[in-house]
Amino acid sequence: MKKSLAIAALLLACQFMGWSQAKKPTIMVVPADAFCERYGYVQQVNTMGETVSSPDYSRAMKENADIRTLVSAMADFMAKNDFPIQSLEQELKRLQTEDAEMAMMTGRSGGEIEETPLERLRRTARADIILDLDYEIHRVGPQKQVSFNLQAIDAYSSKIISGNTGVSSAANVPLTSLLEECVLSFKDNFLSGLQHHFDDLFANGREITITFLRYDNCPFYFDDDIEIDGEDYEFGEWIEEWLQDNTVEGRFTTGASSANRLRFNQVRIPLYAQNRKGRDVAIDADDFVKPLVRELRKKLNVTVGASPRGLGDVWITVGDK
Amino acid sequence: MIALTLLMTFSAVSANAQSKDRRKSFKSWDNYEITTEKVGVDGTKFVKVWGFGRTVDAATMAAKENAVHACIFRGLPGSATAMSTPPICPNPDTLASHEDYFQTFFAAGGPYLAYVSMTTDGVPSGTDRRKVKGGYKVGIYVQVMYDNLKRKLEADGIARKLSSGF
Amino acid sequence: MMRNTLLSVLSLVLVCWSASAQEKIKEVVTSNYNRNSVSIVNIQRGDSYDSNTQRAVSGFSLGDKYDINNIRTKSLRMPKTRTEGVSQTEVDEVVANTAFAREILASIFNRDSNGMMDDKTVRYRGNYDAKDQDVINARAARVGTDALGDLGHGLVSGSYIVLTDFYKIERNTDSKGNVYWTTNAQAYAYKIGMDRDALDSFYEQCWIYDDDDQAAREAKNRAFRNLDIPMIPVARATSAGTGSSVEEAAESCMGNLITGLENRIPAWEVAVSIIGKRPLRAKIGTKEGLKNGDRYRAYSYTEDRNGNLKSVKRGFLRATEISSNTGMSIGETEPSKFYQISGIANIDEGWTIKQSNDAGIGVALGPKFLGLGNSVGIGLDLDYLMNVSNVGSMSYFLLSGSIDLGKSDYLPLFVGLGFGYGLHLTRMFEIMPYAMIGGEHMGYSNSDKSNDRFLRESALVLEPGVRAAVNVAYPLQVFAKAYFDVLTLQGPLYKMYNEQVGHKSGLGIQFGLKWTF
Repeated sequence: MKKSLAIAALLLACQFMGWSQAKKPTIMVVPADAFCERYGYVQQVNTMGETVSSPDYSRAMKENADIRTLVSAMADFMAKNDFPIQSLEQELKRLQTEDAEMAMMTGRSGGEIEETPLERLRRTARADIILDLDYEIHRVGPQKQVSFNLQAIDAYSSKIISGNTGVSSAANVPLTSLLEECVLSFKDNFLSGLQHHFDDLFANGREITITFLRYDNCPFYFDDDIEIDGEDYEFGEWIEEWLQDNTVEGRFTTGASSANRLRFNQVRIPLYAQNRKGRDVAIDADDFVKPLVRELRKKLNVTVGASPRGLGDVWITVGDK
Repeated sequence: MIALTLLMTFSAVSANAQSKDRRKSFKSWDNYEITTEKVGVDGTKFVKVWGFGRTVDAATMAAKENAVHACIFRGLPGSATAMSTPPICPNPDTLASHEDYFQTFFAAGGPYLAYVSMTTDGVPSGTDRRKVKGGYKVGIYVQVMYDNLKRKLEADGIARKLSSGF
Repeated sequence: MMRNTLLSVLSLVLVCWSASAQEKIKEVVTSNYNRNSVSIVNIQRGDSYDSNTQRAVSGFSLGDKYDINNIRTKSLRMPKTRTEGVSQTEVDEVVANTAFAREILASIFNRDSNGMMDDKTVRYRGNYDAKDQDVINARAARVGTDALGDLGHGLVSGSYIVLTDFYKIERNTDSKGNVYWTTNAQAYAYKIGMDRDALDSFYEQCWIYDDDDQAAREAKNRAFRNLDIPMIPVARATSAGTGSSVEEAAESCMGNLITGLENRIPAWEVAVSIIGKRPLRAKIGTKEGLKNGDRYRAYSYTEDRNGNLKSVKRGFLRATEISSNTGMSIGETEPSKFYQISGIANIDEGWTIKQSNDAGIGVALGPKFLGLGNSVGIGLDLDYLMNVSNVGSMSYFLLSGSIDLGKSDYLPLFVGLGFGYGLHLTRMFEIMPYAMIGGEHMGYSNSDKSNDRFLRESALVLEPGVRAAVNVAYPLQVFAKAYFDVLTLQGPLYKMYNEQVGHKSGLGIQFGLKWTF
């Protein structure tokens, strides 16, 4: 009896998975800030008149053979686990071409979008999980020893999924041996952290962030009372209610709430939803807010735009697109 | 004919008893020591593991079983220069829910042997070979083909793949 | 000359005795053995013997078993007359005032005048010391066999200095007017007080990297000069020797001094596991200085009720066929072979065997019956083990003496030399056919002072025989001997006395106890 039940459950699960496959998160290895600073891979960036130093990834990747060794060792085992790692180098190249386009886009919203290189990278590379890699080579007399620190960070919630620190053997051997030893040392612990994260995803939904931005063209402020379906609501309140109805177990946190800006963190969205034809499909943040956007347009009769920033972050602009 | 029937009955009973014994030992199968020696070559875990048995050979076999058991259910502790390794099946109910599978997997000469190879030079020796009450306790160095083992359990539907669900 | 031989034998006996007494300390014997490195330093007293003893010490080779740290200090001055040896306190003081640890480190790390060091020696020693298990382990690990050389860092703590001191050096003349020298000798061993943490801090403070600037280099050189690493006294051994010159006499002590220290420093005793039976085999050989006939003791392990590890003494065994393993291990070292000589249980695979030096000299004492005098006498036999074969047959050099108590007026004394070939049917039982040639002397007080009197009072005795010995509690054995004495070539005086004494060819037997030292 027990067995047949189990088989039935298994079959159901298979069908469920067959119908709808969640989007596979993308993963990218990025050298940690501390690493870049230690090795001088920094660039000066002018932000709002202030000069700040920020990591220069493309130099780090070009000039440091060790980090390439580490990345390829990690890419190897991730590929074996059906999660190919996105190449940071390729993304950086793409980023350069996009920079030009970005400059042209700034005019439309009227203000500059301020981003650090990491934010920009996260935005454009759209890696769901950033592997923040730091390592240091210590010299112990004639021996070398590598200490490492690898953090897997959920790019949207900025939460650490898995942290791995440790040291390699101390030995006078080629550095690549020690670096690869490090990768093999944390590999399984790291994978288990990922697995744990994915389990959480399937159980509690994906964690996303939704930000509402108000354009000048918008006839109301976010803390204004407006009439929707014949009832008076504060705009923010109505949004919260919608989220309560549509998130997994009504889970979300209101991060910021002002006249021009609303931000919702830890919004747990289901991995799957029914499309218009009633089929189960995997969804991301953009898909999740589509019905909301439609509803807002219809009920408030304003222009509403949604621009995704990766799979788990979406900006909804009210008053303009 | 009577003798034959008796024999069959007896063998059936003893087989049943053995199986029961095994079941019993499955539940209490936690009493062994294992340490990570160093980071193994790609896909392997290099550990020192202890086993108990009536003879040295039996203890050695038990140690090999323990090494595979640890990789599947217990995980491996870390050492100064090697991080700890989580178990392939972290869910504590896995053993109970797939008991028949593991009965076969860990049977004498069973499939588990394909995932473990002893790297002790010759026989367990010196302080790694101890006469204790009821038999021997031996410590051996082994390489567990962790990645292969994981893949096997994934393929057999015991462990979940990292990419399953996506 | 006889006296000197006796002295040597006695000192050896003493060394062995004290060594076996030391073993009584209860501790778990393990099979961990790593090569040690040694530097020998001679103590000079400021007299004319300094150069002779120095030459003897410098010329002495420690063999393959030890690595040599070529330190700058080869001798130490301790002005004191040679009437007695220098005491431990005196040596401690001088050692404390000499930078031995620094010299050892400078030697191991090939430190040059600029303070630059390298790990060539360490890596060589690490690779050389690596056992098959280390090689196999290295292959299983990601860092691989490249890291074998790094095992050498662990060997730094196994650095010793041995100080040799010669005293009571005497010039003697034998009855024929030949000059010979005798000397007493002692050796003090000190171990470097440096564990892995101390080594790491040494690297941190003193190791100069290529990219260090001048200031860093100077600071590190200063740190090196200020290093304060103690040398810890670990053992003392004594010996005595003779030779035709002071140098020779001093040289003859060196081997015994090192053996004496070996018996007192557990880390110097080779330990290894038995890897196979019939014949017993273990992976040691010339690299460990193993020689045919070397004695080892077997240990097995148990756990007590509280799970504490205990080593259990088992029987002894001797090396038979020595393998040449003086190369780097590739995981397939050819083992040497051994033969078990005692113990109730058969030595098994996996047991640990540990060096347990002995002199290989058996002393057998017991009453003799019949024989030449057809009466009761007492006999003392010494046998020296020359060779052991794989099947346990042992070749002995024999020295025998006996006295006929029945005719004590004439004091008939037999002394013989011979060769025995012991066959082991089991390890407990040895049967040894032997042949001996010797002389019997009878003396009677008279006024004859002629030179050839000794010969005229003697007769030639040939003695074929067989001796059977059974282990009681090794190294104690009971033995029985049957032999046939052939009395021939009697000197004229012997013949005359023998008319009274009545010695003649005949069958004899002896029973007694034998102890092996």
